[in-house]
Amino acid sequence: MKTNRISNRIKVWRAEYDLTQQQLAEEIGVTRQTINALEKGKYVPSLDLAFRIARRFESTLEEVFHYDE
Amino acid sequence: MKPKTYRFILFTLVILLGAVLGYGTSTGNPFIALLALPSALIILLILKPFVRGVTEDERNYRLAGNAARWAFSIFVVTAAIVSNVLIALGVEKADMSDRYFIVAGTTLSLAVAFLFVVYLIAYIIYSRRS
Repeated sequence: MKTNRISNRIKVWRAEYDLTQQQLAEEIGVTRQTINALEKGKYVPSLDLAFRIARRFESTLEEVFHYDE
Repeated sequence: MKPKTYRFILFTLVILLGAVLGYGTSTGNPFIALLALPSALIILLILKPFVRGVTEDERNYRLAGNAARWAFSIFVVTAAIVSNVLIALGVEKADMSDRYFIVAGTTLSLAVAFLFVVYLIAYIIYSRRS
């Protein structure tokens, strides 16, 4: 079975910026379900979406996403 | 309009469309089906700009792609087996002048072949784009 090696800290960043899943979803143009799937590690975003999320938190990709070796 | 309302309308339209298509088929009127499908599509196209918020995103597209690939594989394998069985049964019953099995089996085989052609064309188009 394919394992997801990309983890993220979206939930932590979202808490830091005091945003709900719905608010973050609306700001970056995705559905709330996608944010939920991302936070649970069930979905790996495209590079485009990953950059949009990182930009929203005024951080770099590496600060939000991590590739587990 | 909220995305939830749009989804409710979409769901209701699909049910209505099914009912109308069923009625058209049972009464033997193809024009009902020819009118119903474009009408439903036009209604959805008109309503879509009024939806506030995001109704679908890259995750939905990826899920739809995976679901379509899965459905395609299941259909092709099942239809290939069923069409062979039908044709074989039809050949066996040929002396009884019962050709329905052969017709049904051949139609199913052609449907699979058509699906393969459409898949191939779509694959070529998408591979040239990316």
